[in-house]
Amino acid sequence: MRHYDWTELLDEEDLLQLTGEALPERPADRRRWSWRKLGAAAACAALLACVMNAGAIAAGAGQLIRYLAGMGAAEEDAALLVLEEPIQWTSGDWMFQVKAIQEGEYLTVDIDHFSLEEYPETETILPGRVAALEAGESLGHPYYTWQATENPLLTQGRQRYDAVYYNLQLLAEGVPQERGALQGDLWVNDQQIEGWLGPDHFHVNDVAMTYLARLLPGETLPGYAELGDVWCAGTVSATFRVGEQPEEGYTFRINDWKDDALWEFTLRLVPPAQLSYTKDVRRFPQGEVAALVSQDGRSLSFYADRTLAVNATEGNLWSVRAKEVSFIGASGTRYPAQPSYDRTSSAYMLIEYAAPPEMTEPVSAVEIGHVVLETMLFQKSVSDTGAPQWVRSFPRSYEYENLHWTVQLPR
Amino acid sequence: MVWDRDQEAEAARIYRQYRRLLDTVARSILAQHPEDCEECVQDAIWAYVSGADKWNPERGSEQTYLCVLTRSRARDRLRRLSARREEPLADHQDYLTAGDQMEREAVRDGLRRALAELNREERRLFTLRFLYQWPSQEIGQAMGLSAGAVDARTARLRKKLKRLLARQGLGMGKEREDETL
Repeated sequence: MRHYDWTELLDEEDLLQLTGEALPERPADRRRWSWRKLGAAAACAALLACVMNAGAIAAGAGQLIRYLAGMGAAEEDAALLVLEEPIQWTSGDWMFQVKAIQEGEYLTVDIDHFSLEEYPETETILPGRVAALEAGESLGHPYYTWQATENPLLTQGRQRYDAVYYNLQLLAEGVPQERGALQGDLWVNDQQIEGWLGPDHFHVNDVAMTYLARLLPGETLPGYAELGDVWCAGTVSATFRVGEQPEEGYTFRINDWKDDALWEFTLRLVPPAQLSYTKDVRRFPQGEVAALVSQDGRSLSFYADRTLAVNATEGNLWSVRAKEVSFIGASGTRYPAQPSYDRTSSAYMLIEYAAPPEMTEPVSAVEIGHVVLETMLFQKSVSDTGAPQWVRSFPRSYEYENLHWTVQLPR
Repeated sequence: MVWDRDQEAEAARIYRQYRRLLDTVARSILAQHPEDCEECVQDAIWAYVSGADKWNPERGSEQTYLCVLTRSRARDRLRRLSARREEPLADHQDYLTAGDQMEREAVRDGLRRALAELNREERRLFTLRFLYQWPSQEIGQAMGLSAGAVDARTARLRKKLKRLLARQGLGMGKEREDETL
C-alpha cells in the first residue's frame, strides 16, 4: 500500500485549474490575449501603420499635444506644473534629487536616492537604525527584517531590497496637505488606504517607504547616466491633494523613521517649457500611439489618448514604452537611445528617450523597433456619499517587435 | 542596460494587490513557522517579477498563478525546515492510498476523475482545505460560509471523496491509517 500527498500527484496544470476555480475571481469572461497571437497582431499593426504613414497625419488622434522639455508628450490642456529650480543635495555617501510634478490638484514628489559607494553607510538615511537593531530593539514594522551586518543595505539570502522609511509632509502656509494615492480617477487618502489594507500596511503612521536596490553592473538610471557608477539607488514618492500654491511655495519636510527631522526645503512649481516637435502616428489593436520627436531631434516621447477605451474588459491604453529605439545621424550611423524620463501616474504618462551623449552629429531620423503597450482596467466602488470603498486595477501588456517605425525629421 | 524600476513598481503593485491572499496561502502551510511566511511571499513575488517563473496567461489568471507559486515555495520551505528539525511534514494531513501495483499515472488519473465528479463548490472546498490547508475561517470568508459550516461541509466532502476514490480503486485516510474499500 502506498501513500500519496495530493499535491505530489497533481501537476501544475491541475493546481492552476483548481486554484483558479477556488479563489474569488476577477471579472468573468475576461478574454486573454494569447501570446501565440502576438505575431499575427504585430503583422497587422505593421500593415496598418504603413497605410497610415503614407500621409504622415498631422492631427493624429484629435488631441492637441505638446512636448514638455525633459519630460515628453502631454495634452495641450493638461494643467501641469513642475519644479522651478532643481533641488539636490549630498549627505554622507548619498546623493538626493527631488522631482515634483503637479497635475490639476494632485502633486507628486519623488526623492531619488543614489550612492556611488559600493557599501554606503546608512546613518544618513536611517539614523540610529543599525544601533537599534543590534540592541535588539523592535524594528517598528512587522513585515520587513533588517540584517544586522556591517553593511545593512546589502541583503543576505534571496532578498534583493531593503526598505527606507520616511515621513513625508507637504505644507502650504504651515498647513499639512492631505496625502494619498490616485487610483484611476479616484483619490484615496492614507487613512482610507489603511482602512482597506490594515494597520500593517506601509502607509501606517504616515510613513512612506522605498526600496533601495543594488544595481547590476552596466545598469544605468533614466536621466542620471552622467553619474557614472551608481551602486545603490531608489526612489520614495508621495502624492498630495493641494489647493492653490502659496506665493512663497510649499514647504516639504522629510522626517526619518523615528519622525525626527532630516531635511526641509521649499517647492515652487511653474509651467514647464515646451518644445516644437515632429509627430508620427501608428494604430495598434489597443489604440493609436503618437511618436513625438523634439525639434532638435535628440529626444523621443510617446502619446496615447488614455480616455479612449480599448473595450469593456481591457480598459484603456495606459502606457507606451520602447525597448528598441535608435537615433539615426546624418551619416547614417545609428545610436541606441537611453531612457531619459519616465513618470506614469493615473493623471499622466510622461515617457522620454534621449540620444546618447556620444552622438554629436545632427539627427536625421528616429527609428522605433520594439514597443510595449500596457492597457489598464480600473474597477472601483464608492459609497453613496462618494467615499472610496475599493479600487482594483488590471494591467495587461502587449509587445510589438520589428516595427521599423521611422520618424523622419524635416530638413 | 536599464535600471529596472519597472520591476520595483511591479513588485510593489503585486504586493499591494495580493498581499493578504498570498499571506493566507503561506501561513496556512507554514503555520508553525510564521516568521518564514513573509519571506516566502516576497520570494514568490520576486520570482514572478524577475521572470524566473514564467506566467502564461492562457493557463490562469495572475492571482491564480501567484497562489500556486506561493504555495509551492511554502511547501519547499516547510520541507527544508522539517528536515532540519527532523519533524514529520504533517501529522494530521489526509493522504491518498493505492495498491503497490498501481502506476502513479493511474493513481493521478483516478484522482482527477474523482475530482471531476465533485460539484464546483465541493471542488473549491477540496482545493482550499486539502491543497492549500486553509483554516476554516479563511475558507468561510472565501466561500461566504461560517467556520462551522465549512467544518460540516468538509466532513461531508471527505465521505464523498472516499466513495468516489474507491470507485477508482483508491483509498483515503490519515497517515498510518490505511483505508481502502
